[in-house]
Amino acid sequence: MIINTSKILTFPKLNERFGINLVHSFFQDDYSSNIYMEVIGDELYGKFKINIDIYDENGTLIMPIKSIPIDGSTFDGITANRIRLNNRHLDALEKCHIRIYPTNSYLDDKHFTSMTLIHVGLNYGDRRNYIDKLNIGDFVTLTLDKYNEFDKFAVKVSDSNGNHIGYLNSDCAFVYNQFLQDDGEKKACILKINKSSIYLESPVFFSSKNIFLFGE
Amino acid sequence: MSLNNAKKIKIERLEAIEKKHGVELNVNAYEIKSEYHNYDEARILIEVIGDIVNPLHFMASIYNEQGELIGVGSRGDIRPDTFDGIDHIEIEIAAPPGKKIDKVRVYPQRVR
Repeated sequence: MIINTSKILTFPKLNERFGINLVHSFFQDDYSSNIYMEVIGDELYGKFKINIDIYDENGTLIMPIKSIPIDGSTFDGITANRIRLNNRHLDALEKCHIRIYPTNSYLDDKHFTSMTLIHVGLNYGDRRNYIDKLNIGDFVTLTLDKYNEFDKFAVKVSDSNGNHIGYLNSDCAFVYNQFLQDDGEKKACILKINKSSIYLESPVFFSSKNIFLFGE
Repeated sequence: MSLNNAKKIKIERLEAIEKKHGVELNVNAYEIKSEYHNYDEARILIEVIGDIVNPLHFMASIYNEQGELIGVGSRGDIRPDTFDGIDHIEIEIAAPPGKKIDKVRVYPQRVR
């Protein structure tokens, strides 16, 4: 199958958030199909990874291709990679596309995933109108909802204009609640949106050794 | 094809990174026709001189005249316990068919 660069999506806002610039190109011949990628950045903090995954048209992850770990403490400002696509990938790409994005769920310790789900009350009231205007890479604000009659740990999610768009699911809310007690609010970046859920980059990264705060 | 007839490729070294890792790279690069396929290859010769603390490998990225990244490759490792201050490395990177190689960027990277 012949594919072109329009099949490869990157997310400049997310890249900016991680302090990196991703340069990529794609070439295909009779023998192989390769994505070439350079990661460039000045001062990077903590550990994160760059995922190269195949998604379908509804924004659902179909097939991970590769994860490239980046460690800010040893990063020199530039690194390069070649990602080879096999026939399985090319078959999937007939109807799907590739997403290249940084994420802070670095899998080296026991930790909570960075993919936080909002799915409570997305269709309540006018919320769907606000949600339809959101894009991957946009920021939302997480705040405590102390007077919520159903869940005393509830965490409210609002868009950048302050419109209430939903709540974190209760498991995530229970964990984030303690961090929001100190600061009152945190910002989180949208990684994925589908009809029933929104996935956020976690503002809090847990590991068995350290706690890194990524939120603003 | 001998290297005498091959076209030289522009070199970009990242000296700050070389300095950080305690090495100096002497780099020469040529564009040659692949012996087996109908595309061009970059042959990059690197002489590594210095005193290293960490194991290193060497990265090379090739670009066309439009500045588009058209290939990457790496080679190594050089390890502090066996490195005597000088060594050489050769990296070959195939360009996609029809793409002309204009520049190569070479830099050391700590082995993770």
